[in-house]
Amino acid sequence: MPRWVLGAGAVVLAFAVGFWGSSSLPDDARGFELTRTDGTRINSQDVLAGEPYVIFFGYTFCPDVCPTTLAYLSSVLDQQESATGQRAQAVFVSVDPQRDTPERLAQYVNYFDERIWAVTGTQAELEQTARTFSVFFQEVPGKGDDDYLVDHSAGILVMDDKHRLSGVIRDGEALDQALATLANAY
Amino acid sequence: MKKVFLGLLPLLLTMAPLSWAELAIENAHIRASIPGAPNTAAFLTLSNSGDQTIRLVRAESEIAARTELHTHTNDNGVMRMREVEAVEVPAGGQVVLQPGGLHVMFMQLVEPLNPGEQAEFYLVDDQGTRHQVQAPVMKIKPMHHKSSKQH
Repeated sequence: MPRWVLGAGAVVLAFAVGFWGSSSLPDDARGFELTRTDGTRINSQDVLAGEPYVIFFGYTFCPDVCPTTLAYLSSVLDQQESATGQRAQAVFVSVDPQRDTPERLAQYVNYFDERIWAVTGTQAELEQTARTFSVFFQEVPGKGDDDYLVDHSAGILVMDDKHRLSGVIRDGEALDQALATLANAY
Repeated sequence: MKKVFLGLLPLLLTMAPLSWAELAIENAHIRASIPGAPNTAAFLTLSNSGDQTIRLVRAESEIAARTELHTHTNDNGVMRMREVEAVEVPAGGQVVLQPGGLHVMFMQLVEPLNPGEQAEFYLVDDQGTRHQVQAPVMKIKPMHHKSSKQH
């Protein structure tokens, strides 16, 4: 049976909307501890210490927006690299631990860009991470047990070198704008 | 197009006053499967040169366990994908199925789709007419190219 991923979804949604919608962003540091597809546990405060990075949420069953975001982000990072010589680490968080096995997740993300880290975790860890990053996700029942959908926050969160939220890149926005948002994190 | 007319023929013969609807499907393409992902989506442009709204109520294919008409909505930053009851193409109007919005959703592909292949599916209207679509399989392109002609 499909489960509600996030029981308190509405509360988190209200928070996320209020948060992303506001022009001033709280300047507290945010972090995650999740599992990479090779089984390695990573804590953002260790592996990304002192580095800006970008993080976004999705799932491999998503046929449209997630692939689009991955392809888009990959090209944004390529541009960043050729323009500045720096390339922000990108982290894709799967919010569908039930279906997104490490193998599936690795194949999926590597298809777009092998340098993007794919991570996931237990339900509790993902809920915690979503709260930390003010992100919403929630399962929506499909016709069968195995084809539920997951509503999730779109947008790529840009974290600065102190891991404070520095900006949000919207899917498909002009490259210049995305690069400017990235540059703000440095 | 022939199939469209053949499908409409019984309708044309029985309907009075005579009305007509003609659907053109252009720029159809289907996304190559992404390793690890069992689903994909097709995009296209629908034009109705007739004088009746065309209401597409479902999609069918043999390439996936289920084929559905879906849309995405961005609800205050939250992407919600949903099946739609129908895609309506107004008389003389156009509807574009494109990334981030309306799309034909293929769930649980029977076989991976590779760039260069062709895929076939049908859009079925509320009169029961099946509109055949032949779509080339294309590798995903970054979204910021979406305004270019090739999409």
